Amino acid sequence: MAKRKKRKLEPPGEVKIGVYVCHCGHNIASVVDVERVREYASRLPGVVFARTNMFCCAEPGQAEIQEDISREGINRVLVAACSPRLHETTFRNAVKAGGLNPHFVEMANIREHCSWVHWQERERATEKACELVAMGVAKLRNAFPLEDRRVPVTRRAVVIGGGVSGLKAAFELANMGHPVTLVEKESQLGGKAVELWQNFDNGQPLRCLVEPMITAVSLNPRTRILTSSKVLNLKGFIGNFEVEIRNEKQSIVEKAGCIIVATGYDFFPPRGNPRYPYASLKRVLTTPELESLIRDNFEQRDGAYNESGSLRYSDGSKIKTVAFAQCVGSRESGDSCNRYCSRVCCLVTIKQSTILAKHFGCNVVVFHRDIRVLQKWHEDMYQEARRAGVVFIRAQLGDVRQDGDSLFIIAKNEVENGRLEYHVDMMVLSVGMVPARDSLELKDVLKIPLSDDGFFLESHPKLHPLETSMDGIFLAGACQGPKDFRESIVTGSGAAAKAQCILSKEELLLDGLVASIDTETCIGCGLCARECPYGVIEMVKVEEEVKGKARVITAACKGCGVCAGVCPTGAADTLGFHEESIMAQIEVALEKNAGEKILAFCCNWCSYAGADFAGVSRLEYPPSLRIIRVMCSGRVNERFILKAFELGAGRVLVAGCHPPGDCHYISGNISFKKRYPKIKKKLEKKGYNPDHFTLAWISATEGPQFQKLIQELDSGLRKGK
Amino acid sequence: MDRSSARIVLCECPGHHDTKKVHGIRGILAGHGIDCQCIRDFCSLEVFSRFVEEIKLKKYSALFIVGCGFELAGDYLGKTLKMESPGLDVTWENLGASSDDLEIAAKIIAWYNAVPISKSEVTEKKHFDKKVPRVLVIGGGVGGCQAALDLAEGGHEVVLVEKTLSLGGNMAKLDKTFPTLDCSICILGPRLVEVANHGNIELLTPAEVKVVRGSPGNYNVRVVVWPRFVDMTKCSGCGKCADVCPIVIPSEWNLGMKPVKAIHINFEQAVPLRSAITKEFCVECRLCERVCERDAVCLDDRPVEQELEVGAIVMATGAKPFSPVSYGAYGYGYIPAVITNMEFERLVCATGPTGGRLITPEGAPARTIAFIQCVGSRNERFNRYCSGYCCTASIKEAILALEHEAYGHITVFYNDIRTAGKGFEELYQRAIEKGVRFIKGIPSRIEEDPYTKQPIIHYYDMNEGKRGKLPVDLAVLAVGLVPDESGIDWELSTGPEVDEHGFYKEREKTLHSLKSNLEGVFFLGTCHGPRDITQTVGEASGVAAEVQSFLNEKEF
Ligand SMILES: Cc1cc2nc3c(=O)[nH]c(=O)nc-3n(C[C@H](O)[C@H](O)[C@H](O)COP(=O)(O)OP(=O)(O)OC[C@H]3O[C@@H](n4cnc5c(N)ncnc54)[C@H](O)[C@@H]3O)c2cc1C
Ligand code: SF4
Ligand code: SF4
Ligand code: SF4
Repeated sequence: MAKRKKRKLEPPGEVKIGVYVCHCGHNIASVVDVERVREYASRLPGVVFARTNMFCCAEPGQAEIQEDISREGINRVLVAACSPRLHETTFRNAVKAGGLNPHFVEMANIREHCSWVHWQERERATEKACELVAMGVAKLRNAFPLEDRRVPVTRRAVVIGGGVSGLKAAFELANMGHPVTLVEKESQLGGKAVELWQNFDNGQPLRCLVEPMITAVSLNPRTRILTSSKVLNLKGFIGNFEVEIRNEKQSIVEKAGCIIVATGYDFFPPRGNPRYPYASLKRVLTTPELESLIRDNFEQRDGAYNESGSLRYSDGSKIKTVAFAQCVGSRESGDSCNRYCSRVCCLVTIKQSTILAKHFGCNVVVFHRDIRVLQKWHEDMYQEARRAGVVFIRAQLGDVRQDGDSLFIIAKNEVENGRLEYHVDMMVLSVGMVPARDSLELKDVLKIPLSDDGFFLESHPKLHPLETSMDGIFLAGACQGPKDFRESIVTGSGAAAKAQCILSKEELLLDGLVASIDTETCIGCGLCARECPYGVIEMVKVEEEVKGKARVITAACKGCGVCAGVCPTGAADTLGFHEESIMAQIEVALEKNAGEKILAFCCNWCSYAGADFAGVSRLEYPPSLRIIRVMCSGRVNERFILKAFELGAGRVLVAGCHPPGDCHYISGNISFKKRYPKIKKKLEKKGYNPDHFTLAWISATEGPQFQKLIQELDSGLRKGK
Repeated sequence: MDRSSARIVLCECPGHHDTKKVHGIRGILAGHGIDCQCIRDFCSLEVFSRFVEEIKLKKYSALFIVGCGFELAGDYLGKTLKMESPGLDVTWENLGASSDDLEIAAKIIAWYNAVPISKSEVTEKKHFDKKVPRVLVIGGGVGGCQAALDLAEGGHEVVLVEKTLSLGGNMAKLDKTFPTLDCSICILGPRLVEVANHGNIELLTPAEVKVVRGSPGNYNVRVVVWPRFVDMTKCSGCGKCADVCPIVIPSEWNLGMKPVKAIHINFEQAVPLRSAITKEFCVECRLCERVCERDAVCLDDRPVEQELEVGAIVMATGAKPFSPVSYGAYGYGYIPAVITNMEFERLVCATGPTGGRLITPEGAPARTIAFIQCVGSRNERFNRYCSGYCCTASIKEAILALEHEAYGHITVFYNDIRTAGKGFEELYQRAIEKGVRFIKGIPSRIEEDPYTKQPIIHYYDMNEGKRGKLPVDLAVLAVGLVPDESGIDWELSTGPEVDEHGFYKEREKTLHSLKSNLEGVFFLGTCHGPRDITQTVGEASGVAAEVQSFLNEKEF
């Protein structure tokens, strides 16, 4: 192993750790013997005392920590509670207010990674909780104080997508006084509001809703509108993004403080889908197609709503009877359809069927499962449809056949199980919403994850519905999940408020989790500069040296630690996740029964989150697992793996985000993937079984996959013995 | 008379506005010698930009625009007009089906005759008051707190007024939240602490707004801060006082299900974490006063009135669960094992009355549980609207019940299952996989078994087409949300309008769903109709943006 460098940053003075073990109501205490964990923790080196608390995160819990800092003189804090992904910031702020450096707090995740996944094995869960605490304490003994970075803010927002939500976001931001660039891939603004005809909430033509918005946004001197344009590349970080936008004519790099994604959705395409063979039959329309048909019919009448007359199909024939089928593409199992409910299609049907019944005298029947209308005025619309003569039947569509010019429908009535037969002139498929085709591309450009349903993933479903996992990138409208116009407009405003929180400031404080390079031990190989996903390491010439030395441009560093992962000497390191602290955790984790343990390095964004998700879903797996959190799988240096096997680890796992696109740091996962076979070879040379070392990709939503992986590794471990 | 600085525009969009009506109005005006102009596609970029140029060129000072009205076009185009031609007086009128042409023409004529003739008069009439950059947020539930935070982070001063002793509203009382089953107070608590500690937020609890006066941008508000009988600045929340207090009362916060002392803290994670005395029950033994190390108890505390100047007001007063007492057929109130879903949330919560044990009022484990949906919702007798949250909430609670009682039997009686939200349908499927039984058909009544004291549910299963009786250990009523009274005296020409149900009424359903009819008064969350937390939080941020863009608009 390379000679260890001399570090300039020595952990200050005597280490005095206070440990707080949380009951979390029953969440932890009903499985883990909290008192025993406290007992155990109080005897660990460096620990001054250990306490238990019903809810550490509540105000009294935080206040207690602050008081202990001043009264008991503790200078490090370990909170054994839930996932740091949930509450690390909470406790960082708490100790900061108490006068400590915020990086002197560490969390042992004894809830998501312990009590919630080992609820049938209380004894082993308690043992594991003790060890997780000991690992945290070991990390704290090696902790450094980190300084926040101050970065200036570029006062401009880029809004991607010019539908109602994007327009609304741009409108509000411009009114708040900020320059905005609006990027739209089509040649005109307005999105679906231009395609569709009438809004169900207020009965107004959608054009009248969106046209004034387009005009106002276009005429505002603070907005810059780029139509037929796409975002091709993104560089930089919160407060300082560089967005590369291209259209046929030009390519522009726009500097912006934040980005709002408002790229909307697509309609579910039923034709060619094996689940809906009848979708291609004549006179079978989708709801957006019917929308155009109704519009055409009205326009022929010169906008007079109340004159009756029959509905004419595109070929001019009269339509008298119509059947609607709900949930097309939604609420289905299997690959060809979506599991989720599209939320708006019931209302679209209610609106359209009412118009057909009222203004065109059609006989309308709607086959549905549940009618889902949730706004306070929607139930009245549903009742109005019924009063207008629309018949709603809870039924499953069986077969649909062409029968001359009409359609023959067989359905099974769910209520009382009757068989239904209908002859209709036209059938309408109430199609759901699917993620916009470009989401996949954009996700890779912006490095923001998708949820299981393919829509963009918000950073918390309840309390951060507009934020993404990338600081400074926000979501508006249906690109996050099905929404109607009203909700899209509201979230457009909401995203603007989030942007305002950044743009109203002169400068932002970013955390101090950055790379640092020790020039003494740097041999100038340039590996780090080559692997850094953001290209923020430069090689600078130094007198008397042939190769030069690496230097980090700190303001732009994201702290992924890929440089530290590849550095052969340990000169490159990441503050907050530095080598000594990780080595210390490895040692503690493998102190007892190393051979029976799985030691895992999980990246913060995907696989650690995936393990958290397994916890949230209460998916049990064997308690032999010990997780060390790193920001990115690319941070894992081969020295960690070798060390683990030297100490006799049963299995070693590195888990990261799915390549190529999921990595929070562009390509950190790929960087590790390249090193993986080499490490295996090295292990073999040293006489360890390379098969005991695994690399896996787990996303933030793959709780079940994570469970399965650990179960497999554990059973392999047992069989191998 | 020369009123050449005034201009009247009639929009005649084909397919939207009734051309006959537009021409009728033009005819009437012409009869009065008033000129007007009919424009097609007025709001389109091309036509409107030409119009703006013309206004600047001819230096008009007053405009009357008849078309979609303020609600659809006016708010957006009005901002452009004000920016391009500061000081311009614009009136919007809706040509919508309801108002007839004579009425509109009469309005225009009256307006025309009132337009000042000389330019000097024009500038005198306008006032250029500055808007107060401070915002009042009323209601400290999850929505009010989020709005306050976003406004404060955007650089505005915020006064947050909460009626009860602590922040958090209904969400603070929930055990878990759907669809991820996150522990509710665990995710909310830190956010509440953040509100209480934010430098730009002034928190007033327990307090209520009494009177609102003034004008948009310059509201004058009178707030009364009710006495807690404990000095907020001194109390540390140690709880020693409650230990010695001899008076035991039901905890209002725990829906009367848990005993507390007359001096108490609402719950362990309350923000602000300060004691308070429920004065009606206090016998003034002064034991608490003696034991308090910080001299915080002050039994002769009085209500304090404060006057505030604010630019905008955000209503976030929430909604309250429907009281099923009036729903006689379900026996709520006299069959002890019939409870509401909120009571169920407290029951399964570790900090609730039973410490999280799921038991019947008799103390036995509750194994068979039934949820009855739409209680007080979707019903002509009570409320016609759907409360939106309760289907998913019951599914969540059914799963929670199974986590407490792995071999429990859970049945949900429903009308439609309305799990329309991100991840909600998936939760519904998960409940089905876990064996929760869903029966379509709302039960007709519940009676109590005289011997076992179990509620017996009488229902009709619409899918099977047959009647049934189901004895259960607990019957949980999924009650809807109903509007709450704000008790504010709006000393203005009008207060914010409410709809037929009593919820605040949106200025326009789609475009301005967070604005009231009063300029500068906004709302969010359940006070303008039932919705879930995600939507409430999204709206809170939305309001924050709209308030800030309102305050940033210089002239009005
Ligand atoms: C049993 C139950 C279970 C639920 N489960 C879920 C769930 O799992 N997931 C989910 O998303 N949603 C759930 N909900 C819905 C959720 O509770 C609401 O969406 C959310 O609480 C709305 O927040 P709010 O801020 O609008 O209102 P509230 O939470 O009602 O807060 C309003 C606040 O304003 C205060 N206030 C009222 N009037 C005044 C006044 N005049 N002056 C000053 N202050 C005032 C009140 O004291 C209160 O603190 C559930 C609701 C119930 C009843
Ligand atoms: S909104 Fe209605 S039609 Fe659409 S998926 Fe949901 S239940 Fe089905
Ligand atoms: S009033 Fe006094 S005794 Fe009671 S909680 Fe506050 S500080 Fe403690
Ligand atoms: S959400 Fe479900 S339970 Fe609640 S009122 Fe609507 S349909 Fe009824």
